[in-house]
Amino acid sequence: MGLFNMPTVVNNVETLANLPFIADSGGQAYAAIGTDRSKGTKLVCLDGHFNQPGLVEVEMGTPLRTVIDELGRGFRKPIKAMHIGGPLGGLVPVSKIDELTIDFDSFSKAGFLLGHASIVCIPEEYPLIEYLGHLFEFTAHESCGKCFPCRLGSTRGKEMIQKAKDGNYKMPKELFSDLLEALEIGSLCALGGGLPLPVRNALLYFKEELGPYFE
Amino acid sequence: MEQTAYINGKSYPVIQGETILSFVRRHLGKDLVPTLCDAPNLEPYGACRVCSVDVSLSLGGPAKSQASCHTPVIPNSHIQTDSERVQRLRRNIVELVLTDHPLDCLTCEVNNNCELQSVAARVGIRSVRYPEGANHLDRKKDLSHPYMTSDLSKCINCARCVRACDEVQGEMVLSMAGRGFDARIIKGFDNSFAESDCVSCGACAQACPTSAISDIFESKSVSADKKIRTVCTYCGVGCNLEVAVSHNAVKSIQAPYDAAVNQGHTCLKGRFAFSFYNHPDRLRTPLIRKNGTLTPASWDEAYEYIANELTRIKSEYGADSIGAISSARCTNEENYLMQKFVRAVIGTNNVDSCARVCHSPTALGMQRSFGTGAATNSIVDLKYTDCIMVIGANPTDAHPVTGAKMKQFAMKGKTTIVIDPRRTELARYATYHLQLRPGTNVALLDMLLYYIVADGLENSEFIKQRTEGYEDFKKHILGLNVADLEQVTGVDRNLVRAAAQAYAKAPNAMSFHGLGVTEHSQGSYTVMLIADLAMITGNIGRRGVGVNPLRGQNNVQGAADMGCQPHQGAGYLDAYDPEINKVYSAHYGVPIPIRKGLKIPEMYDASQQGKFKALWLMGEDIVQTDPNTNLVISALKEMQLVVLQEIFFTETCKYAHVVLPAASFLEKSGTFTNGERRIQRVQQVVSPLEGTRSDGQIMVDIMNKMGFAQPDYDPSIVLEEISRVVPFFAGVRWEELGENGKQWPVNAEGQDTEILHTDTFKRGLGKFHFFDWKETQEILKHGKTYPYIITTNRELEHYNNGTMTRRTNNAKILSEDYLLIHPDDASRHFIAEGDLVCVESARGKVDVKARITDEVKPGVLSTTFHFPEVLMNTITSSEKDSEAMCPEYKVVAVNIRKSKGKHLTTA
Ligand code: SF4
Ligand code: SF4
Ligand code: SF4
Ligand code: SF4
Ligand code: FES
Repeated sequence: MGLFNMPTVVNNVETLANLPFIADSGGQAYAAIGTDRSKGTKLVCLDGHFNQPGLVEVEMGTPLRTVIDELGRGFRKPIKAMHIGGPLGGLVPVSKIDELTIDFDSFSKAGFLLGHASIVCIPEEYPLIEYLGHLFEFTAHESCGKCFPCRLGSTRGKEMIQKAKDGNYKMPKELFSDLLEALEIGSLCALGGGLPLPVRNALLYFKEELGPYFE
Repeated sequence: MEQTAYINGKSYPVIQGETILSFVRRHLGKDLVPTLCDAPNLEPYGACRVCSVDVSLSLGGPAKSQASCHTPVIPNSHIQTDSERVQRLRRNIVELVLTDHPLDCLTCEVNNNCELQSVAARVGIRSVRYPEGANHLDRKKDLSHPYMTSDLSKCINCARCVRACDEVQGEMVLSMAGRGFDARIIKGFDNSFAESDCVSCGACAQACPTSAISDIFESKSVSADKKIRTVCTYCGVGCNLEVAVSHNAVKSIQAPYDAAVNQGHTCLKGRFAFSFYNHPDRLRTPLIRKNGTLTPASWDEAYEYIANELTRIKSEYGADSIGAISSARCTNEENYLMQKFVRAVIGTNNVDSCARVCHSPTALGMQRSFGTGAATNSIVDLKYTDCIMVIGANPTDAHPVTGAKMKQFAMKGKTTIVIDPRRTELARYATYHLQLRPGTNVALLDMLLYYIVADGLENSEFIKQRTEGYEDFKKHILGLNVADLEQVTGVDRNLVRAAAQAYAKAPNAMSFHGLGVTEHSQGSYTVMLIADLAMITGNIGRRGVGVNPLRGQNNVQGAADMGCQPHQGAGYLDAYDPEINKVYSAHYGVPIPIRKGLKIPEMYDASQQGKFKALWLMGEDIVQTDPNTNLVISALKEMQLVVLQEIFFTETCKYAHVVLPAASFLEKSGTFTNGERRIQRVQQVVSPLEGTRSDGQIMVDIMNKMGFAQPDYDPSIVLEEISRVVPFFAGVRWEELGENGKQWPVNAEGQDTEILHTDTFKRGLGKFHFFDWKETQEILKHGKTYPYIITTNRELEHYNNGTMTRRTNNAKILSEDYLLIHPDDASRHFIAEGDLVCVESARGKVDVKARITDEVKPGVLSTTFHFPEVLMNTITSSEKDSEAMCPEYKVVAVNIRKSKGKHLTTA
C-alpha cells in the first residue's frame, strides 16, 4: 500500500536529476542519448579501489573498460571481481570487463545486472566465501520477514556459510542450489529474489576457490 | 467476450480481477494448490509462497513462478499448478519452515488437523537437510487467559492471526514485532493475552494454521466424535456455530466459514460461553412449593399439580385471570406452542413475551410506518452501503459480530453516524457522534429531519411515488424551534446538520437501532421518526439502505412472529378481528378468544388488583430483568400459581409454585429467527441433561395433560403447522432450511426475501408520522429531587442478567457490574475509582462500583445489570412507551452519594 493507501510513485534522485535536461531540451533530445533500449545517461559510482573514485555520469552504452580505465583511471590494487549494480547486482569477474557496456541489455545478456550501476571491487586476496557470507548476512539483516523464503532462507544460508568457514562442515550442493532457487523464484520482493544472482555468479566464475566449502 | 485462461492445459472462464488461486479453486476444487498463509475470511497476503504456480503467457513460453493467492489471473495465460519447479519450490519452502518448528506432532494438540502438517505431507518432505541454527523454539507458552492460549514455538509467521484480529474483529491486539528472522507474534505491548486488549473472539485461534494460538477447549483438535451445526443462543445476530461433540458432551465450538451470517466469526459468548449447559447448578428435577418450600417432585406430579391448579383458577376466576410470558430465547416452535397453549387450551389472549421489554416499539412503529415490524434489509448490506447511522445501540458489545463489521466500516473512514448518550466504541471511530441527553431521541431526530427538509435534501420522487402524509409532516417539521431542541438534546445544531447532510446525501444509507431507541417513553415514536428519515431520503427497498433494528435476544424476531403478544396471533394477524378469529379457530380446531389480552405490565397491575391469579413463565427472570423489581415481586406474591420453565434457579424461582427444569439450546432442535428475518435451524447437539425436558416438549405435555391433543415436540412437525397459519412462513420446511436458513417472507414455493418493500410497502404507501419531543414523566416527577440521569448498557462478556454467561469463564474476564460516572460528578461527590456508589431513585437504592470515565457526559450515569448482587431494576421505574408499553429502562432519575455498601444484595 502506498501513501494514504493509494498507489504511489517513488522516484530516486537519479530520475529526478534527469528532469531539468528533459524540461530544457525535450524528450526527443533525451531519447537520442544512449542505446536503443537504454536511453539517456547513467550515474556510476566508483569505490575506493579505483585510482580516481567518485560518481561519474556516462552515456548509456559506454564500454565498461572506458569507465574503469579512463574515468576511474584503473584499479589501485589487484582486483578479481566487481560487484556491480548494488548488493543484488551481479558479480562480474575482471575477465568479463571487455564484454560489457554500461546499459541494461549488455549486462542482462551476460548474466549480470546493471542495477544502479555502482561498482564495488573485490580485491584479489579477499576470500569470496567471506563475500558470500556477507551477502547472506546483508539480506538476513535487511529482510522484512514477511515472506518465508527470504525470512528463513537468508538466515539459513548465512549459518551454513559460517559453519562451512569454521570447518568440519561442507554445504550440500543440492541443498544450496535448492535454497538459491527458493529465494530467487519464491521471494515476494527483490531482496530475497535478488540475492541468488551474485551468489550464482561467484559459484560459476570462482568454482575452484569456493569448491572446498561444498560437499 | 468471455475471457479464459488455461489451467494445466485446459481452458476455463476467468472472472475479471480474480486471483489465480480463486480461479483454480473455483474450477478444480480446494486441494489443487496448497496454501499456508491464506485463509477463507482474510485478504490475500502473499507471505508463505507455497501457493506458487508457474505462469507463462504462451503455451510452452518462459514461465514465471507466482504466488497464486495474491496474483490476478492474466487472460489467456497458461497456469501450471504442479510443474517440477513449483513442486520443488513448495518442498524447499516447507523444509525451511520446519527448520524453525518443533517436530513433536504426535503430542501436539492439533495433530491431524494442522495445515503445516498436511502441507508438509503433501509436498513430500522426508528430512530437514539444514544444520541446526537459530530458532524460536524456546518461546514460552501463554496460559494467562481464561480462554485464549498460545505456544508461539509453533508459530510459522503466517500472520493469519494478526490479520484475523485486524480484518475480522478489528481489535489490533496481535502484531508482528521485529524484522527478518526475528519477526515474531506479540500481543498488545508484547505482553500476554490476559494483559492485552483481547476481546476473546477467538478469530485468531481459528485462523491459526497450527497450534501456535489456540483456546482452552482445543477447538482445533480432532478428538471429537462429530461436529454439529447449530445457531448461537445469545444475541440476535444469529451466528452459526459448529459444535464438536465428544461422548455426548460439548468439546468446543468453531464458526463455519460458509455461514451467511458470521463467515467464520463469533464473539466470545458464542464460541466459548457454553459451559453453563452442564453446570452443576442446572435444575434437574421439577420443584413444587409445599408448605412454603420448593420440594423436588416427579414430572407427573408437577403436571398434575399445574393442571389441577389451572383448572381450578380458570373455573374460579375465569380464563383471563391466567397468562403467560413466552421467551425470545426459545425456538419459534416453542413460542408458537406457548401462545397456542394460552389461546387454544387456556382460552385467553394474555400471552406476551420478553420482546415487550425490548423491541415491541420497533414492531409497532415499523408496522405503522411500513406495514412490517422487521428489519428491511440484511447485514450483508453493510458491504453495499455508503453511510450507516447507529442509534441507541452499542453493537461492538451487544451484537459483537455485526458490531465488528460496523467497526471495520467506520475504521475504513466510511461515513458513520452514532447517536448515543455514551461514547461507545463505535462512537470513537464514527464520523459524527451526536452525544445527546438520555430521553431526547425524538428531539434529536426531529432536528435531523428539520435540516433535511430545510436544506432541501429530501427525495421528492420517492416521497411522491411511495409515501403518504408528507405535506402535513413537512409543515410540522418546519414549525420546529431548533434552538429549543439544541438546548434539550445538548447537541450542537451544526453537528446535527452536518450529520443530516451526510445521511441524506449518501447514495445509500442504512440505519440501525437498538434498545436505546425502544426502551423509552417515546420509543415507538422514535422508531417511526427513524422510518421517516429513511423515507424522506428514499433509503428503502434496495441494497445498502433501510431501517434495521438490532435484536437483543437470539429470537426476539421469532417470538413476535409466532404470536407471543396479546393483540396479534401467529403471523401478526389481528387477534381482535372477528374474521381472523375464525381463521385461527379453524386452524386450532377450537374456539379462540377474541377478548383483549394483557401485556406484561398490565398483568402486574391486574395482579395487584386481584384480577390476575396465574402466570406461566418460559425462562423469564422477571424479578431481575423487568423494571421496578419491588412492584414485580409484590405482583408475583399476589398470584396463586406461578409456573416457571428454567435451566437455573433464578431470582424469579423464589416466587414460583412450580419450577420445571428445561433443556438448553444445545439439547434441543427448532428454529431461531435472527434480526434480519433469517430462520435458521437449531440442531440438538447433546441429549438433554437427565431430568430435563425441552421447553417445546413441556408445552406439548401440558397441552395433552389438559386435554388438548398435540403430537410430541418435533420441530419439523410444528414448523409445518406454523407454515399453514403464518403467511410469511408459507414455504418454510425444516428439511429445506439448509445450512444458512431462509429470510422471511418465504413464499409457498420456498423462495425467501433479502430485502423488504422493494416495490411497494407492505401497507401500500409508507406513512410519515410527526412527533414532538416530550420530557418523560420520570424526569418531570422526580428530576428535581433526583438530578442525575442513569441509563443502562451491556458489556461484551455478559448476556442480559448473566444467568448463563456468569456460569462460564466469562465471569473471570468481567466479574461485576459498575457505574460509569464522569470525573466532574465523581469529584463533586468525593467518589474515587472503585468506590461503591449508592444510586437512589424514587423506587429504591442500589450500590455499584464506580468507574470514572468521560465516556458519559456530566450529569449522566450508566450501568450494566449482569450480576444479581446489584438488582439494578430496584431503581428503574414503571414508566413505559406510551404505545407498546416497553419499559423505560434507559432514563431513570437518580441521586448519588458515596456508599458504605449496605445496599449490595437487596431483594
Ligand atoms: S523477500 Fe522481500 S518481502 Fe520477502 S522477507 Fe525478504 S524483504 Fe521481506
Ligand atoms: S481472540 Fe480476537 S481479539 Fe483476541 S487476539 Fe484473537 S482475534 Fe484478537
Ligand atoms: S500464531 Fe498462528 S496464525 Fe499467527 S503467525 Fe503464528 S502460525 Fe500464523
Ligand atoms: S455475535 Fe451474537 S449470535 Fe454471534 S456469537 Fe456473539 S452472541 Fe452469539
Ligand atoms: S498462500 Fe499464497 S503466499 Fe501463502
